[in-house]
Amino acid sequence: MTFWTDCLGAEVRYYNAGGWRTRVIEAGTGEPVIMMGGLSGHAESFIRNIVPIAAAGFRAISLDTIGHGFTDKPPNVDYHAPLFVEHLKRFMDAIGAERAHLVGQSLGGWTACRFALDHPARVLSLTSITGAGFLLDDEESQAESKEVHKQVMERTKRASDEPTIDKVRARLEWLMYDKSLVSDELVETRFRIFTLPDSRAVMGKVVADVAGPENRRWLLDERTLASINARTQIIWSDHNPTTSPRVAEKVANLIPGARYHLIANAGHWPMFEQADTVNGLLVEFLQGK
Amino acid sequence: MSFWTAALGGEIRFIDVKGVRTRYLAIGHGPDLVLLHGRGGHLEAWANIIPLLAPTFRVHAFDLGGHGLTDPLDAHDIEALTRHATDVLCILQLTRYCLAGQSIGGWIATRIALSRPDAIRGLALIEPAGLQSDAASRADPRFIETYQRGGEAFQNPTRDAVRARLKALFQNPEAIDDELLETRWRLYQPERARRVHLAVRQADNSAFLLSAAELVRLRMPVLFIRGEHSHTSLAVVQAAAAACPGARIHTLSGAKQWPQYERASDVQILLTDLFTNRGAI
Repeated sequence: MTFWTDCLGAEVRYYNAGGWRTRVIEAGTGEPVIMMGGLSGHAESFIRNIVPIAAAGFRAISLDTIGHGFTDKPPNVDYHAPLFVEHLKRFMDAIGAERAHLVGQSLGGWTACRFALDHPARVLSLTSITGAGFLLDDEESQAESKEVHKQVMERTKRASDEPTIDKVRARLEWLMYDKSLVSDELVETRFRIFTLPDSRAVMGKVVADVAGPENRRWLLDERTLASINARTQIIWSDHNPTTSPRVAEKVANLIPGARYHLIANAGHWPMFEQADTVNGLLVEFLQGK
Repeated sequence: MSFWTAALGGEIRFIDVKGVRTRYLAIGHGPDLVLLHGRGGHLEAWANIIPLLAPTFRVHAFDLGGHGLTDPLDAHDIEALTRHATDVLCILQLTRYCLAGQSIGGWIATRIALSRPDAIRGLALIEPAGLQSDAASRADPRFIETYQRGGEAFQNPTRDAVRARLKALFQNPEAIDDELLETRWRLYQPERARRVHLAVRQADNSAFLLSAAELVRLRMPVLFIRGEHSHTSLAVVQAAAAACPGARIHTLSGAKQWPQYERASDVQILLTDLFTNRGAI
């Protein structure tokens, strides 16, 4: 019903992830399931998934990634894929998790894939939900990738450069298939985050770095995708405003053994818009079924 | 505003208090301020006032023993609830703090202030219980109604029963928002919530009533906050306030048992004045 009732019984806490103060929403005990949202996002994007995953016997953790939410936003780093991988690694070290299931949406999906490539022994499974970072060989996909980066940069900049309630709402409505899900509470949460002093100081750089040309060298091309050896599933949505389902399905075919699910009636946040369906898929996959 | 945005930037934790898993919220920066909720309550009773206090105080709120999402205790009389609350404050390593309690939270707050007077900078008692015996309270039909609605909400926790219970606490029923109703409804569902509530009701607290001989020992600034339409008579509060050396009474219109929710901004002003302008800090 509201964020509060969606995650009643969960904790909101801060960890020292190797020097970076990191906010999470977490619940449950068991194998860690670490969830990461997209560019300019925050832990609340998984608010409808934390308690259901915890109830299935996992330690469900939604993370504010570095430069995002209430986590530290250092000004003197490059917000490229390796930084997000390093933050995730330091976070896992901080909670004493040798291995974890990774669930990443958008930018978080990119980070999860990169982490699985760099630290395969620490990944129990990999789920990319409307994930960023895929770069297929064909010309159409290459053009789409560039266009998506440009769109994401422009739209995020529009909301974060001089944040107002209306601009933040517009950015969120772009994400959502059902615009009515962009509640006042969601808008206020994001607006409050965007107007934190450190967000005001660093978000411009975060957006420019993540969606900028230099970070494209960390994109996941076909050869790289084929070398992912984690148990993987790709969850997409029929109305995703970024990368098309056509690309996502091909990605799933390239990653050895990967599953592919297309969620109906959802935009960029299927785990929020179609939470029950996605929770069902996640729990089944995490339980190794 | 929602409960989530009220607590945004803060922490919500489950802490181990001598084996009792206790839900705890902390937010804000400044002198420590501890909030103790009432009978049948939970920390969300403070949701409206928390964001108003957080700019001035480090606010600490937790679910009392057996209440909300905190584990049940072995007993649920005032002594046991006070012991658990005191243990929470020890674990949080709070040495000097402001203390505000509503209903039995006010009773517990006063018990803490009597046992650790040096730790308490100031004491705000919002519609406190413990000033008179249950038998004396029952003389007022409004108390009986509140009491019965509370019992029904626990015995058979339907949304309607929970709403009726809240209505008995509020002067303006429109101040009962859906989020409060939904939260309380969920918290009342487990069987253990029913057991605890029964135990809280059946506890013999006569030995722990706040006597004038005890109240005279409260040397810190004390403020009694009443709802104008409360079921505790003004005379009872006046007698208690007269016993405390430094106590005042403030009555808020448009409020009954939950002024901290219905009249949150007024209560925030009163608390801030009590704790910052009257020498408490």
